Amino acid sequence: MNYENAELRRHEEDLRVSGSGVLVMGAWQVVKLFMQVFLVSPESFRLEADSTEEKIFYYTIFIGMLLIGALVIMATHAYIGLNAMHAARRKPYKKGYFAFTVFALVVNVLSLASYVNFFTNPESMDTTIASILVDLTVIYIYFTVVNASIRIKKLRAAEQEE
Amino acid sequence: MQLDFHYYATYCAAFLAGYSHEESLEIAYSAQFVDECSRTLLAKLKAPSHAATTQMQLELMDARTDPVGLQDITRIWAAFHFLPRDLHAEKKKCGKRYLDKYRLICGPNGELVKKTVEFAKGRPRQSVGIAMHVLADTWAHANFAGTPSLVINNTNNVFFELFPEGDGFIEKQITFVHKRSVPDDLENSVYTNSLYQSNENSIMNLGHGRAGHLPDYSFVRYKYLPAWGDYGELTKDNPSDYFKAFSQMVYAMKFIRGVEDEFVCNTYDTESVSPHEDRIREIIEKRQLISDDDWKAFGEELSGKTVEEFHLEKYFDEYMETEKKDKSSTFLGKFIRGAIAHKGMVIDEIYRSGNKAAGAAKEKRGLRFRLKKG
Amino acid sequence: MTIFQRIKNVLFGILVLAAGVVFLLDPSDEAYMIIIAFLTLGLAIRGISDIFFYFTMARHMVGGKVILYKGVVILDFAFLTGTLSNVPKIYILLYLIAIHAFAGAIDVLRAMEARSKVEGPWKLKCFQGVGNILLAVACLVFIRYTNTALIIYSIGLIYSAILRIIDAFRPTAFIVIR
Repeated sequence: MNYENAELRRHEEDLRVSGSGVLVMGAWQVVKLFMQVFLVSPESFRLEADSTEEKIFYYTIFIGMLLIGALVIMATHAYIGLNAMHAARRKPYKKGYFAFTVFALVVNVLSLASYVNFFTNPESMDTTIASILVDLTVIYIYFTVVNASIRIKKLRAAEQEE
Repeated sequence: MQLDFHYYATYCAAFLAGYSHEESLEIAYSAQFVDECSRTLLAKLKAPSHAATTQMQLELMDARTDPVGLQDITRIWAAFHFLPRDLHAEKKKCGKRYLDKYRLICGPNGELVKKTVEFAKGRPRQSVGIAMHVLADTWAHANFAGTPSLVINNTNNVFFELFPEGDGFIEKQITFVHKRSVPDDLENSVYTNSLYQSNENSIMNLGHGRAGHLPDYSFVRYKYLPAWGDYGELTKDNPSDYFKAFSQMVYAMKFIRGVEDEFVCNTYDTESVSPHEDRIREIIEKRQLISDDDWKAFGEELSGKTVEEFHLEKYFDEYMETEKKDKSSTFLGKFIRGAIAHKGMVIDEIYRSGNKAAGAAKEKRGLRFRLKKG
Repeated sequence: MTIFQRIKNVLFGILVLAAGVVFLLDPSDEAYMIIIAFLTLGLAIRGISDIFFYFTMARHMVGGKVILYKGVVILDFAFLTGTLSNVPKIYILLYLIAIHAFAGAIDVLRAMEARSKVEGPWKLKCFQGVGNILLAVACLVFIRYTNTALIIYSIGLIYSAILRIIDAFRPTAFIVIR
């Protein structure tokens, strides 16, 4: 058994799998966003308007913003995910994905603070726990991308020196 | 391994070990019969079903994969086709369930193969054939386990065939397909394997299914990442392994005959084999799916006699026409008793190592296999 | 398919068939709740077992992390399904239609893969997948007429169940390397 590049292969596999995990999570976030808006809390987004034309206008703006938001979420995740996968497979990739990943990791870690208030509400405890679970997994995926990227860079540099 | 090695190569090895032509044929038949003796066949012969040494496709399709069913599958495959190399292997930071499966990984020159060969000494030639089948398979089926397990037997797309060039090898990506009717395409490195199933205990994850027939082709060299290997890259050199398997079979059978005093692992009878080394390597390295004709021709050169083709039903009539009380003295009767005894020995060893993956061997008075010598 | 997988498929098919018939005959709020409850429970068990499998076994396997991610996504899907118990029926129906359409799309993709790479029956699977997608589209077209949409959805459930039961009795290509 040749363990010579085992660590490098492990991190490449981690980066590849986590990259695809970021893509899946991105798609899932978009689906959940739409479900949240239209299925779970549709009444939160009911707009007060005087006329039908105004309602249509406001709803169009609202849907447009929603679509833009979804696009931004998907584009960010696709940028990170695809470039991570390409980096893992030694294909050409954009190095900016690393910065985006670090940013997303920090944002997600900080967003955990918002759960503090939810623990005082026992009615939505099950959904809160579920959300925390998913957010922790997302943080883990981003952390894996960051960690794997750093380790791969070092190991490949060492490999080239040899 | 396939019929070419289990039957014809075993005949050649037996002859080189000093057995006569007829004795070598008996040993060769028994070695190949391990791949044929399923519960379906035993039912046809009205023979004990717990003597089964293999399972056919249809039997596997209907096999249960609950804990009891898994033990039943493991008993057959671990005992006859994927003999564990090290029942006390250690792996850090893993649970008992994983460790039990990890310890079933097959490989040559383990303690169990030594016990297998020693167990066959003083027993009928059918037991010698069984032992040779098991020994040969430890080389071909190394690094896979005889139990359904995704986490041990899985493979991924890091799978390359190695072609010798100069001092090294060139790598060619192997493509796996799942079409049983299409033969393996040797020229383009396209091989059939079993489908990926994420269920840990799926039959598709039994043995070397995820690597297709590659372990059974004597000519192929390949490298891949075994699922259990912590991302280590494993290179399998079948030509080298098959040659060692052949040499070790000669050595083992010399020990069984009493020519050698003891059977020591990692020992090969190079003395008897070296005059024929070029010939054997030529057969092993020839890029063909089946090598029956080449091994047969070699065997006939060695003995000067015709090596008859493997005929499955050769001893069926003798077994079926004999009265029940005398069946154990027929050829198949001896094979059946040998298979039960060998299986019991292996299951016992696995159980006593603290591994319940194969269940426990039942020891009943009168059923423990004891046979007179010869 | 092993014999036990076939039995499991037949039993599941009968369950879905019963659900379709119940939905058709008695489209009450309780029927919706029961379906949501079963779906939530099934997905939660699947997700938790995947996560458990990862931590006990698959973390030692090359490429095992994908099982963890799969388990978490399925578990989140289960919890999300569970939160739908308090929404109007129409939205639950939309959700179930979307799942149906997604399952149909997966069936079509698998049938296409079976056709090119794997030796196995693909026409039935493809037919099943296309049928599910068309039924989902029909439900969406009639979504404003809740009862019509519900009838179409119930027919879709019964159709899926019957095809699943038929599939369980078909011989399947089974490649096991010995």
